[in-house]
Amino acid sequence: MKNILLTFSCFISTALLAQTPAPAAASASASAAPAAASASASAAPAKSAATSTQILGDKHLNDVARYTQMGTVAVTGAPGNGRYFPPVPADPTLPTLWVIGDSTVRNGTLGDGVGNHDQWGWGAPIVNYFDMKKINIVNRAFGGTTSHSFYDGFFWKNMQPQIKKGDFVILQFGANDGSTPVGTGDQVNAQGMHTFGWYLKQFVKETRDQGGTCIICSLTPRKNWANGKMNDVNNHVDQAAQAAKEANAPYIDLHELIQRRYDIDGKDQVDLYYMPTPEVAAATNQKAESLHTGWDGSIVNAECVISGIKSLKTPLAAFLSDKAKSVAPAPADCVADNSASATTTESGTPAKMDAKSSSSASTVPAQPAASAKTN
Amino acid sequence: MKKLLLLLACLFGPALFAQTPTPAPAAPDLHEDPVLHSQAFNAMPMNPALPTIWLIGDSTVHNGTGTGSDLLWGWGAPFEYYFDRTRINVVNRAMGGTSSRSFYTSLWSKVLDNVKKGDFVIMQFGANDNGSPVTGKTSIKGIGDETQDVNGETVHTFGWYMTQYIKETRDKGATPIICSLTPRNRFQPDGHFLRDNTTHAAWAAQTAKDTNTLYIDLYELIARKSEQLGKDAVAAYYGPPATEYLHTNWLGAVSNAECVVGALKAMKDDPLANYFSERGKRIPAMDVSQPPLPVKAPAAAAAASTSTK
Repeated sequence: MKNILLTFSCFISTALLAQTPAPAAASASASAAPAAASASASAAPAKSAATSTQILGDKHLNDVARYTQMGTVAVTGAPGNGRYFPPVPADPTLPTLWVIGDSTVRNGTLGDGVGNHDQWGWGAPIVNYFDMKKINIVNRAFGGTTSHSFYDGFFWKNMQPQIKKGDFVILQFGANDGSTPVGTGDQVNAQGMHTFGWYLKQFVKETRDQGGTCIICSLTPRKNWANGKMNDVNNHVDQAAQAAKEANAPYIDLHELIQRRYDIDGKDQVDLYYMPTPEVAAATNQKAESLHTGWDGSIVNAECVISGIKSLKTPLAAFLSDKAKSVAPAPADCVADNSASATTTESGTPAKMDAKSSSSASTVPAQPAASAKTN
Repeated sequence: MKKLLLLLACLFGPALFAQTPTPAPAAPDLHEDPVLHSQAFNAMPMNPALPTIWLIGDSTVHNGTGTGSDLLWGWGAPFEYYFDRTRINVVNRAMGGTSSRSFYTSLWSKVLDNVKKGDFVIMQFGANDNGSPVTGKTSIKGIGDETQDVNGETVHTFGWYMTQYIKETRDKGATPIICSLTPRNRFQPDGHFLRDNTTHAAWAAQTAKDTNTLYIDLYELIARKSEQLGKDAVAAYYGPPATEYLHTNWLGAVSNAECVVGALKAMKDDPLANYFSERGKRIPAMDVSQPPLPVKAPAAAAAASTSTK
C-alpha cells in the first residue's frame, strides 16, 4: 500500500511541483503517508513532500520527512544553480529546530543521498526522533560550508531572521574549517576572517537575539583507528567546547560520543557506516570513505546527537518522539549545559519535565545497538 | 578545503569549478558533485568496467557547461540519478547548439571511440535542425538519401544522420535508443499543447521504425504530461528568463528525465531494466499505449524539403 502511494505521489507530484498552494491531491497523498502526518502537520508537509518527491525520490526518508531537507521555493542567492530550495518550517505555529552545519549534517546539493552515492548527514534521520506534531525540523546545513562561509554567505543571512522565539538551532562545524583561524578570540586575520570559536559564539548570540536556543556540537569524527579504538584527533573539538563555554551555550561533544559508540560497534561494523563502504568502493572504482556517512552511519550519528539532547537541560528534549526513548542519555562528561539554557530558553514547553522524566524512565535500551551509552 | 572549493565553484560558476583539481580517473572523488562529474566536457565513465549510457543531443539534454551556471539544466543532468551507479555509468556528452549534423561531424567520433560492447547510446536531436543547411549547421530536412554539397561538406538529411548514429553504435556492439526532441512549451488557448507532428519528431519515429531501433517519443510524452499539469505548472519548468520556452531549469530537467525513464520502463524489453537505482525503480512506466505520434507522410515532407534547399 505504501509503495503504491509512493508511486502515486511520484506520479502526480509533477502536477504539484511549482504550485505553492497545495492542491487537494497533495493533501490526499500526504494524509495517506505514514502515521507521523498528524492533523496539525499534514497540510504543510503535503505540499513540500509533493515537490521534494520529484526532486529527491530517495529511498530512505518518507514523504512526510523529506521536506525537512528540501523546500519548494527557489531563493535568490541560494547555491546549487537552481537545484537547492532551502527548506522552511512546515507549520509556522510550531517551534522549529534549525539544523546547521556541513556535509556531515546534510550531504549534497539535494540532500537526498545524491543519487547512488547514498551519503547522508545526520540531519536527515534525526527527524525520526522528534515528534513532528510538536516541532518542525529544518535542515539548513549545506555541504562544503565552514563556520565563516556559513555565517558570511547566503546561509545564515537567509536563515537567521526566520528564527523565532522558542526555536532551537543546533550547529556543527569544523570539517571544512581547516583554514579558519584557530581559537575563540575576537581577533580578525588579514583576510577579514574571525576565529572558529568567534563564529560559533556569533551563531549563539544571533540565535538568542531572535529568542532561540543554540546548541553547539563538536564535529563528527573521521574514521581513524588505533589499536582497535577510534582515535580521531581534531582541534575543532576543543575549540567548539571552549566557544560553547564562553557563550554559555549548551554543548554536545558529538565527536566523543560517536567515537565511544564506534569503539563498541567495532571496526567491521563501522566500515558499513561510511559510504562508500570498502565493498561499494571496490565495486564502483572509488575510494572508501572516511568522513561522510551513509544512511546507517547517519542514524548512528543522529542517535548520538539525540543522546546528547536527552542529557542537556534545554527544553528540546520535550519534543522527542517515542523512537527516541530507545536512545540512552549521553554520559555527563559528553555534554555541558554551561548554565545558560535556563536563562535563555524561558519559552520551554510545559511538558518539559514530564517528557524528561518519562524518557529517562525508559532509558533501558530495548536494543543495545541503538544505545549510545558506553562503558 | 576541497569542499570549500566545491562550494565556491557552486557559488561562482563554472570558471572557478574548472580550476578544482580533477580527480584521477581511477579514483574519482566522491565528494565532488556527481552530476557535475558526468556533465563535464568530454566526461568519461566513472568505472570503465561497467556498461555506460552515453547521452548525445543538444542543449535540452546538456545545457551550457552542464553545471547550471545559468540556472538552466538539460534532462541529461538528473538522468543519472535514476540509475544504479554500481551497475552502470551515465555520461552526458550532449552539447548545446548542436544539430544532428554538427554533432556528427564535430563531436560524435570522440564519443564513438569510447563506446564499447554492451553500452547504450541515447540520442535526441532536432531543436537545432531547423533552418538552412547552407547558411547554418542544420541537416537537410527529412529522412531521405538526398545530399547537398555545402562548402565541400556533403550534407545529409536528419534521418540519415540519425541512422548513422544507430549503425555506428551497433557496429560497436552497443544499443542505440532514439528520443524524439523535447517540445517547445506552447499551449494553445484551449489548454492543448501545440504539437508539430510533421517534422523532426516524426522523422525520428520513422527512422527508428526503419532501423528497428528502440524509440522514445519524448516529444509526445512531454506534451501529454504538460497537458496533465497545465500551463501554469509547466511554466515553472522553463527559464529563466520567464519568456524561455525551450530550455528547462532543474525542475523541468527532472520532469523530462522522468519521462525518459518512464518511457524506458514501458518498453516490452527494456534493455536498461536491470540498471535502475532505487529512485529509478520508483518511477512508474509511462502510459505509451495511446496511439503513437501520427507520422504524417514524412516521405512527402522529406521530398518537400529537398526541393526547398
